[in-house]
Amino acid sequence: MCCTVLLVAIVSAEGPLDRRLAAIRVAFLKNDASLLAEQFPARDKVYLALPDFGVRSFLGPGPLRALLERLAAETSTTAFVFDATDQGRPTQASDSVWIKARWTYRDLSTGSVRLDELHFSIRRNPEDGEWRIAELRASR
Amino acid sequence: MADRGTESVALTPPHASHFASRLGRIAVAGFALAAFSGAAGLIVQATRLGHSNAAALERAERDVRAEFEDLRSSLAAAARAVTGRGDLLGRPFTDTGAGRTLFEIVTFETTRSGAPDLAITVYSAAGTPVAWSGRPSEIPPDRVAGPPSLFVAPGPLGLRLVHVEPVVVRPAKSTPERRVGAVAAERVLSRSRGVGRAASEFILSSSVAPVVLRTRYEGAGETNRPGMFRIRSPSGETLIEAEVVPAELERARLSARRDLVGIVLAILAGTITVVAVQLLDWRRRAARCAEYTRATWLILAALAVGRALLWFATPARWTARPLFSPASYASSSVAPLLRSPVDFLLTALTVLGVVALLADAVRRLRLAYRRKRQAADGDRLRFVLAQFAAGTAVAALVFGYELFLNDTIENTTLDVLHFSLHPWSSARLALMFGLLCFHAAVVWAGVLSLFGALAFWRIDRGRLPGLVYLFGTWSVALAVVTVVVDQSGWHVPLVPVSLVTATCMIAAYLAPRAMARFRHASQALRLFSLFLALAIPALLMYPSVLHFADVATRRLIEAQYAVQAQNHPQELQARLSQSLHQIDRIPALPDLMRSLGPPSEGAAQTDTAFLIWRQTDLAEFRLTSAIELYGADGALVSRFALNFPEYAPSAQKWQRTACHWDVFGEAAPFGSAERRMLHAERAVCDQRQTVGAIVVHVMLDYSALPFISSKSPYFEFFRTPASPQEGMPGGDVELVIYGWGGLPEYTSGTGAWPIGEELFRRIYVGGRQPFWTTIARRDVPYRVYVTNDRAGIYVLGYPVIGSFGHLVHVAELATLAGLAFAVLVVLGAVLARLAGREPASGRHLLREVRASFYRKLFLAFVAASIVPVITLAFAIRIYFAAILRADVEAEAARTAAVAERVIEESAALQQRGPESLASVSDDVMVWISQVIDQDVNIFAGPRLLATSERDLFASGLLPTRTPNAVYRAIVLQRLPSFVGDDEIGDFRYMLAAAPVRLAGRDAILTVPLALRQQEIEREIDEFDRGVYLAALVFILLGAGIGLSMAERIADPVKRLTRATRRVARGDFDARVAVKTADELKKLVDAFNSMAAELKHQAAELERTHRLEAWADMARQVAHEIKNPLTPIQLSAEHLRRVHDDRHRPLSPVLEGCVDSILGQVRLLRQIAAEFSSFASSPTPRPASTDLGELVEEVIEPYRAGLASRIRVDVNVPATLPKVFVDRTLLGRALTNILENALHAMPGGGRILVTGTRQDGRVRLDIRDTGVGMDDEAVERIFEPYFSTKAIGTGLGLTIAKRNVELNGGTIDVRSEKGEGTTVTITFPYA
Repeated sequence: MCCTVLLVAIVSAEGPLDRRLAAIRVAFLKNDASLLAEQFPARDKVYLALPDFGVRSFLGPGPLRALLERLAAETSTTAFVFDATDQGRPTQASDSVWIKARWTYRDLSTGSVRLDELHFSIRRNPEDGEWRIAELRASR
Repeated sequence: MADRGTESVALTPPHASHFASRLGRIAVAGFALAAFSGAAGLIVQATRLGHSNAAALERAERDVRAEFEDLRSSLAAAARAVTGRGDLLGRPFTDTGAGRTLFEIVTFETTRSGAPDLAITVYSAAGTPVAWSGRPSEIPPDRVAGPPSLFVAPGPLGLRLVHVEPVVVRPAKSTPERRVGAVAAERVLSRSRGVGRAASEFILSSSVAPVVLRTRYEGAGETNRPGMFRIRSPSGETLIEAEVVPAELERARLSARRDLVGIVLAILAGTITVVAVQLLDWRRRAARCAEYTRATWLILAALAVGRALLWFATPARWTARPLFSPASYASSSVAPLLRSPVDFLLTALTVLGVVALLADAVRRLRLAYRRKRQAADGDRLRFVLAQFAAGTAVAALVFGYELFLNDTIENTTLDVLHFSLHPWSSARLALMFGLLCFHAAVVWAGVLSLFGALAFWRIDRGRLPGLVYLFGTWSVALAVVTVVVDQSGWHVPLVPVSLVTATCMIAAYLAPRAMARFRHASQALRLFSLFLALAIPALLMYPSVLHFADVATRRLIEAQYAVQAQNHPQELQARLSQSLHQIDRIPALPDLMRSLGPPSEGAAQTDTAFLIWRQTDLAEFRLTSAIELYGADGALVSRFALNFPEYAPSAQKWQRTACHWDVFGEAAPFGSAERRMLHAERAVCDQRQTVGAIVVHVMLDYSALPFISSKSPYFEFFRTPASPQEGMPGGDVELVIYGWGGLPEYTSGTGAWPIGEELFRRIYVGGRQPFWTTIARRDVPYRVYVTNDRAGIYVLGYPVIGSFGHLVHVAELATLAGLAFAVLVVLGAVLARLAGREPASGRHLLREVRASFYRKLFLAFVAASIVPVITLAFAIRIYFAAILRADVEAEAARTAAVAERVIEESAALQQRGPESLASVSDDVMVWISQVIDQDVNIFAGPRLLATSERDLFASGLLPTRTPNAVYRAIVLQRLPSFVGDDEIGDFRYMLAAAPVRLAGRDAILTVPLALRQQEIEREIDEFDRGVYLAALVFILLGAGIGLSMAERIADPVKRLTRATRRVARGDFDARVAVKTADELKKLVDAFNSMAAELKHQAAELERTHRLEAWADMARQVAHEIKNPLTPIQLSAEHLRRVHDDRHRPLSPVLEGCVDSILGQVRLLRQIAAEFSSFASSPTPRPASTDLGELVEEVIEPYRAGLASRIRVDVNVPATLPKVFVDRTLLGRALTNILENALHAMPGGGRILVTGTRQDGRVRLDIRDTGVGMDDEAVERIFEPYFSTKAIGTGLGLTIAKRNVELNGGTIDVRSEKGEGTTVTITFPYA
């Protein structure tokens, strides 16, 4: 039921960027590493700064996938909300947007609930027009 | 299948049972060890974590209390040790002697305690720090002035436990005690690093689980939860609240269990590997094909199981370490198997093991088909098809591996081109070793495939058509695969692939000969060959690694760095929008604004602005920014800026605006240039009333980009916990941004690339199309990526590796291969030992070295070259490192001096006069830091006055106390400058300091030089690599010379050994030839002389033996002949006498017969006499003899009878020295010679006897003009029974020779057929 609602959310999103944002949200809420990995470029390195996971580097697809699997295995997302004000969106047509999300999750090993701010840099691929996460930073 | 001819021994039942029992023992031992480890682990776990959570909590509490108690007692001891010198505090603070002594005392106490984090501060009665050590925190004045206390305080480096002890002195017994100050000793309880950490949460490690610490100001003592306990001071005051979260306990238990399982699995994996080694023994001895195949499958299965167990053995929590971290490396194509560097290494080792296993199988296959091979010329079509299939497989393998290599390099953050061991990185080395193993496995798998395909075919060596077909087919296969790969769009470098494949082909063709040589090679050569088997593939693959690393860097630049640089203005805009939104959400902002008073001493304070700045993304991303708060009257009341100097603060006046944000762009002065900046401002309104205003500035500063290294040491420190791993691709990328005027506006490195006319035209004409090109800067070529937009031109580049760099890489790669090989050999030896086998390599090698003069010599030469070269390399390295450091120190001192002048000049320029300390504000510091490109701090006395990094100091993350060493050097020792090391936590950096005069009092200026230090370290590292290459070249040169010298020395020795053996076997013709002219030549000559002498002596000995034999025979013949002669003679004479007595003379016939008998008897008697003479061994009785007289005596009887026929001339001067000889023996010898001469002249002739002196001897030549002899006769002339006459015994000259030699003389014969013979006798003077 939950997933159906989420999928509906993706499908009903307006443009490609909205669909991507919806997909990111779904991936986080479903704790699905594969789905999450799909939100990143397939081949290019991306910049990840997740201090709680000991990462601050440009990661290739392999390390990225491993990290996302770890993230999915060790946490359980309870809430994921993009910044309602949408401050990061450019006012004019652009190939990059910077959007912030509040990610609430349960650390499965300790059981504690944490709240992180995730700073996404999402870029449009000039070849296929798809929006993908190019940079992800977390802060608390 | 098995190689019966060489090493195969059938596994007979006794062997099988022995083998099975050994396997059983290994398995039992392994399982027992695993079980024991598991049990021991459970016991340790139970002891550590307890059987229940309550027990674990109790233990954690005990640990924490014990640690607190340890800390408390050490702090109290340190404080009391200093308070004992309270008398010094009574003196004035300006007394530098007392200050110096106090500093020495606190430094001594800190050092003595052995705790690196201990800090001691001595306060004066006024609460001013007068001496300190370490990096102390600022303690509240009430604590300093209060009674003895123990409390906990958050400090720059974490939570600190502080002990304050008042210093009380009693000047005289009659006077009351007087408090003169206090001593505070503090240590770090729990480190906290990073801006993002929750300020209230500190974690303390315990043997059970992490303990969360909260200070009493964070709510300690207010709640009670399970797992919570309080630590109190001796006075009963609650110091801290500690809590062990039950979930953490569960986590600790889970981790311990996983660790334990990991250890047990690792032991089992090790056991299975040892079993595999044992199975190798079985396979080696297998006689039947089925048995061999079974053993091979079992070993393969063991390897697979062992690898799988190790895969499961890695606990997930180890992933925090780079060696086990997927962030360091995780394959995207074979993700489950290769998820960390250690996984990569283990898989590579397994693959290499499998290839080694198959190598033996293929070798045996070839041997098995030795007699069944078909001629390649016979069935050419099948041959070509088979080779084409093999060639295709190998080409596909190599291409596939290239893709795998690409995947590896793209998915690692480790520098795959950093082959040096320094700096040590276990993750990088694991990946490197893994790559070496994979390279070797792939190359040798390729060789094996081709070799296996050749196993069924016979190619006549030297027959060109066969070779052409072979290599032609393989090459065609390679070409076909290349075309397919190219069409598929995979970008694989063709040259390295072709190189690797060609090497596989050549190696496969030469393999049979190489294997034969390997079998008979020495252990040293075998080991060296195996090393080459690892090193050569690595060198072959180096171009591929280089290519893919370059591609990865380019992709990163194109896809990330360039885009980030171009998007930076938009990103700033987005961050600013988010920051403004965050400011809007700050509760009670109007109240905060109202609380701000007018600026004190005309300067705006920083705290409130900093408080706001800290809650925005400006702080999160450390953007070059400023927040200014204005009062209702429009005056600036608070300002905080990060790297953003304000040039005219006094003129700043806010103009009233609306209550919502007004954002616009503007250009602001930044040093000597202008920078683009985003400006946002709004009034802070409360119920439509303006209570102030807030202005936010964000400057376009590319230093905030994630791939740009910060120049700030502080920022580097805070970035350390999750900094990008060393040497990630693109780590040395520089960014330069040019305006459309062609002038550089931003440079991340040490300079900008020159943009010439042609390049500018290309950029301009090409529109927005980015491109790659090469530009040289200071003679160093760079590959640069050029892109542009309306704002400017973005150039990102990295240095191209030159020839020297490649040489260094190759040298380091070879060394790495050597190290990996050594590790593999040791690993093999350990496994063999565990499997109960004697590791052969080392022992054989030692034996070979011990037994070989050649190898000893070689090793001695290598050692003799290594020791001085390494010593020299170290000396050079130390010398140049010292020079570099001295240069930097001088530069640091200059920088400090420049900063000092700039400060003083700026004060003058602002015309504020030197009276106001406030003139040196953070703004000025930021401005100066822009000028000198380094952070700058000003300390007044013990405390920070102004800094270019206010945010870090103000947030309590950096200690504001003047560094101890700096204070001592500048204030107490009055040094003009100071350059030394400072540290924040574990991060060490260089610090330069100089005194400055401000407001009529002394201050200290410090410049942290982390960036320069990094540069020095990089330069030293580069220099080290150069020195290493030079050392390696010299060592190789030494080894080459050693090899040549050892060859030169050992080769004649070897030949001598061989010749000596021949001589020992009786071959006296053995001779040694050498080309040298040294002592070895003398030795060889001596040997050759000895051999010649031996040959001569052997001949003499043989002759002597022969003579003795002949003499013996002669004696017997003489005896046997003489005995019957007398009765024959007597009988004949009796017959004649009887007939004479009867007067009946014998008939003429009978008379003739009797005469004949008597004549022959005489002859026989004469012969017997000669035989007897020859057989006798006369003892010479020498006497001084005149040789002339003796000659006359001998010749005289002959003269009369020969006068008519032969002329005899004697020419022996009377002056000739006498000789010491036996006259009789020599006379007999001369007679025999004379007789021979006379017999040689039946028709007449001449005999000439001449006596002369020669070389201290008397020489006698007896020459005849007889028939002479040929050479053969001359050679045998002295042999007994050899004669050229029809009659004669052939003993005359033999006896003559013997007699002459018995008298110490020599005899020689020269003769010429038809000319005559000369016999020469010589004797020494008497």
